[in-house]
Amino acid sequence: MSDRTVHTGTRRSLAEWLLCAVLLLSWGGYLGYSKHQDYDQIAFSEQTRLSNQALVIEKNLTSQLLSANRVLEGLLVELASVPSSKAAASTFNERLKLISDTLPGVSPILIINASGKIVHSSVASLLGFDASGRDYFQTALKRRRQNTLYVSAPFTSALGSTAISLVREITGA
Amino acid sequence: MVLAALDPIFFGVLLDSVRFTPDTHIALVHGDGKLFMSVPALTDLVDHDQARPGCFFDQHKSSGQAVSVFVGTACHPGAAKMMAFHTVQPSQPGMDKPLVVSVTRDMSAIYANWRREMTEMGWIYGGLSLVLCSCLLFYQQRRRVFQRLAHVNESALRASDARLRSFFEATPDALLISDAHGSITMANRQVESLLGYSMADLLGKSIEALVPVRFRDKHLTMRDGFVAAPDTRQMGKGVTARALRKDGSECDVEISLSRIETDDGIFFASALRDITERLQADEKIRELAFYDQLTGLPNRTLLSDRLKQAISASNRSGICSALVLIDLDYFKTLNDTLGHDIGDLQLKQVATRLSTCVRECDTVARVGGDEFVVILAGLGSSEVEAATDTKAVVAKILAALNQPYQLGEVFHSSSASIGITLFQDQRVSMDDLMKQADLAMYRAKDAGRNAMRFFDPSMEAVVVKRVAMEKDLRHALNSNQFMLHYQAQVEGAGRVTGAEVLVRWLHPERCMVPPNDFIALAEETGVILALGHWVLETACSQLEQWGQLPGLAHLTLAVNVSALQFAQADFVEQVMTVVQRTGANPLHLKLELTESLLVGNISDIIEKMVRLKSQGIGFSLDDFGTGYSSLSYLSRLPLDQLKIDRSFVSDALTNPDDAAIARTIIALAHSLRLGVIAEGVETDAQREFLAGAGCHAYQGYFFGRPLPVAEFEAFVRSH
Repeated sequence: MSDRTVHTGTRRSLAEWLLCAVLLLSWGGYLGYSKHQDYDQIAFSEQTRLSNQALVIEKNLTSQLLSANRVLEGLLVELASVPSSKAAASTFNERLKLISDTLPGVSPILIINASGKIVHSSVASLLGFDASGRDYFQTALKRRRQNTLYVSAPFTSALGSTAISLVREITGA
Repeated sequence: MVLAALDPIFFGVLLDSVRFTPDTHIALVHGDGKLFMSVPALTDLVDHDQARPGCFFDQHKSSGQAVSVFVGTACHPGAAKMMAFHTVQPSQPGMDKPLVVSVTRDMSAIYANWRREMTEMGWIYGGLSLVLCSCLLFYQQRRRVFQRLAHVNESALRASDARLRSFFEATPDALLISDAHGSITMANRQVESLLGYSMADLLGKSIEALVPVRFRDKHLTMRDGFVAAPDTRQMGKGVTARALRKDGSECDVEISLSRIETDDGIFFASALRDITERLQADEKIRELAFYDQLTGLPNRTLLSDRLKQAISASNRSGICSALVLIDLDYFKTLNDTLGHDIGDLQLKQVATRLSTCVRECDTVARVGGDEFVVILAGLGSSEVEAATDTKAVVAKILAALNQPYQLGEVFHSSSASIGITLFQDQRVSMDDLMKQADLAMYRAKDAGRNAMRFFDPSMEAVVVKRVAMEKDLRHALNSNQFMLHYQAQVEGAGRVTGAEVLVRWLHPERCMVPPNDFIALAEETGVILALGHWVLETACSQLEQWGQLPGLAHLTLAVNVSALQFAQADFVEQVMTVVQRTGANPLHLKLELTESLLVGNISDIIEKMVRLKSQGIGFSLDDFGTGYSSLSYLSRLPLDQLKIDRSFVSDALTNPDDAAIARTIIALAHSLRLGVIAEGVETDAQREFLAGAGCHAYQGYFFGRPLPVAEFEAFVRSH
């Protein structure tokens, strides 16, 4: 082959390799860009998804908290009319138990006197338990604010489970 | 105070209900950062504080937003995570502490599919890239191979093309290649020189442009015919045609065609050879072969052809034709005296005159030195009418040839002898006709020249006889049909001194043939050489025999020698060989020469005679007085004897002139101191006259007729 032919062939081969490289790079660039978009989209979608999950739980939890608060407010009203007899106390306990069983997510329901002793409980075994040392009792006792629902830090309850207490102060008791 | 505890079991179910992937971790955290519960459950939940500074919980709390999402690893050793926080703190009732819901997923789990897809895509991309590059590499390698092959093929093709082109250009013929439509696709340089077209003119041009206009339609038809049915014409066989040059002139060419079938269609290769020179050469050759170069008239070859045609035409039509043979009288003398150039001038003028005397349809040919032939065709169906017409034409020819010729500066008068033969429907050959005309011409010569003669069948009889005798003559020598007779030569009153040897032909059918009937024929045919040699040898043998016999030993023998014999370069050697072989006494041998022999190279004749004379052989000059003899030569010849011709002897007694000649010859012989003998002596009166004149040697019937050897010997002994 002549030098000219060889030169032409080499130049053509280089051009083909260049075209191939450009093609591959373009394709790779497109794929990279596309996957990057996917990456962002996944991040965005996941953020939305996680937020929605948290929102669902928040709605549910808020509903539970409102229900529990109304129950506590109702009990506060009802407790004023409960005689001090044992029988009445026992009936009231039964009623607490009934409410506790009816109301999902809330158990037990306790009435604690000013000295920290559990005087009424939806769980009979807890009657007489001294909760004065409990953090939630101390907090409520210190702050003494009506219309406030105290939310305690998680703790291990007398029943052995981790719990958060929702506490309302009873004024005049 | 009233206390309601949140049931972790219930909330565990709640949290788990929205957990849709195994890696999702959902937790409920107190506003102080203490984890209440999580799904899936974590150990040591109470102590697990989410509110450490810098952690996502802390950042959420600090942001004051109800909802926050974070991505990273802050305060969360291990893999990066995405965490969504939602603060639960409704306005009624007034909660002193919020609760926070956190939903967490591992980033690795979030992007697991993406990463897998990325990996797969990477493999696919890499694989496809590899395939693409491999294909390209393979393609380039294949292309290089193909290029190399193409280059090799191209080189081979180029070399082949170069060889073809070299051959194409090297051939002396003009080569053209045209397609089936007649368009010229290739041509060599020879076409330029042959037809005057440049290469650029030719390529793409229709081949019909090279054909003269009058032949184009025919050429077109033929070409289409070749394409449709190539077998109708034999390819490669040359045909002669006319070609048209660029300047409009035409030339003769020989065209050879060959058919080429390719993938691109049918092509025709035409080889054109300029045959103008060849045709000219052919014409020249034809002219040389068929025409006389001096006069431009047809030669013997063409005459034969024309005569053959005339014979055929006469046979078919029954119309008479004539063959006229013209021989110029004394033309040889003109050549000898004035030279061949002058003779040629006369021949040219004769040709011109002959041509003006005949019609265009007649043929005038020159067949030999001064011989011309005229064929007069279509003379008429009657032989008499044809003869009359022929006679008129020949008379015109004779008159024309009798006119004086201006030959250079010389005026010359000449005549011709003309032989004529007619032919009509008889089956005669050309040779026969020529012989007939020849005979008639000789008859005209015999009639004193400047004459015409028609062929007569009797002439042919003579010729036939002559031919038969010639044949017999050649046979006779081998068949011992010749014999010698001896005629006595006497002196004085009758003493036999010798004899003249006379050859006789004893023909088995014709009996004894006289010498006058065959000697001339033997000389004409050359048989005389062998015959003369036989005579000499026989005579010498006889001399040798006589030399042994008392009473005969003194005899001499006179043997006639023809001019043809004597002219042989080795004649002296032949004679001496015969004499030595036979043992004959050369002194008894006498050779008789004729005067006509002396016409040749006299010096050569004298030299031969002297050589023979030196061996003892004598010479006698025969028939003295009848021919031309130069006396000066006569004195130089070593002769022994003059022989007075019989014509003078026989008339000597009645014709004073012959008597005077005889006396003169005798006186001449005496003055030259030569012997003299008279032949043809038939009477005693003749003998007495001769004796009175001084001649004492005789030969003739008065003394004895020619006799066979035995009778001659007896004759000698009786005298």
